[in-house]
Amino acid sequence: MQYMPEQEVTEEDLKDMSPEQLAELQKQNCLFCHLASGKVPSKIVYEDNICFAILDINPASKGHMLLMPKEHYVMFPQTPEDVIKHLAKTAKMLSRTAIAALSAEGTNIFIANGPVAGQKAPHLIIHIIPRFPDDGITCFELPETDIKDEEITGTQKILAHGLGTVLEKVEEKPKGPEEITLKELEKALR
Amino acid sequence: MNCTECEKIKNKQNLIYEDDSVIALLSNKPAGKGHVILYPKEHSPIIEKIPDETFGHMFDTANKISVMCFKAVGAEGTNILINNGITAGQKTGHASINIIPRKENDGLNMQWQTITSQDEDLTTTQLMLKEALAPKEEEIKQEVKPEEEVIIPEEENYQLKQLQRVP
Repeated sequence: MQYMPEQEVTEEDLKDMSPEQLAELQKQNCLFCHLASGKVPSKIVYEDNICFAILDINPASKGHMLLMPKEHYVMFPQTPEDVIKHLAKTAKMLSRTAIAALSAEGTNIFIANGPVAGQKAPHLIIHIIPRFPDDGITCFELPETDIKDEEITGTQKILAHGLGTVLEKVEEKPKGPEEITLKELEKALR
Repeated sequence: MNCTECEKIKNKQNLIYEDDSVIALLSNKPAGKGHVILYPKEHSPIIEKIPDETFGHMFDTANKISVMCFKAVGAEGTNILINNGITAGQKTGHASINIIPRKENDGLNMQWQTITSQDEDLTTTQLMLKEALAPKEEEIKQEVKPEEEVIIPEEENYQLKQLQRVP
């Protein structure tokens, strides 16, 4: 859907803007924020004070819903914890309702963080895709590759180390998973 | 209970993270490097059976793990995927969330083909879903304190049995 921005903005203007102003501009030009406010019409099926769900007008299947926070968050990592938890419960409820109301046999719940992962919109979208027998959807059948034990242990070590860098709370270099205790991992993730 | 995933959980096979209610293991048949599978510790065949609080915590933990993937395995993006039910590609009898790090040209494609959908059909589907969801919307709007737990009652004519279980 073509959506025209509210005001003409030149490159000069953009260069002079602060990060906050740029974020505000992105928000003002976000189609999904306008769907949230009702400025742009949509096939809405659910809303509450935190999120809303609409039908995808280019669906993968019947009842394909887009669940989104009303507030502008570009992707999952930028979304606050309480909003994530609310979205989780809502997604579960939408999935259950799609199965009951549309006689679906299952659902896929899909989030893409980043264009490489398939993110197409600058606003967090959780896809709830009802599944039916012989619906021809194959993209969620994950391939299973063989992996050597050493490779697994290696990746485990990297991820365990990564936990520390994400939280930036680690004072000393974290040990590999054989040495790190579960308590330490738990503490790091908090 | 003869659940292979419960066995892996018990043995903490390729453990990345665990707490009281959830556990994250590296997949031993990964879709890509760093493919993590997050399980509720308590056995649930499908996500609908996972309590709201646990599921909310799973989503939050999946997010934290995906952030870690960006930094740790040099991922350029991540996918969070739940295959709920055999028809949706669920391979085991224990509900889980997949966290899959992505890179350019990694050979993975999770893009679906869109189906043609007439506006009238969309409107019909919209009305069916809206009607089914209206009681839930009303319940949540009537909540006075947002921090209270919203308990959504099970639907009486819940057609869960349509979801096939893994034998």
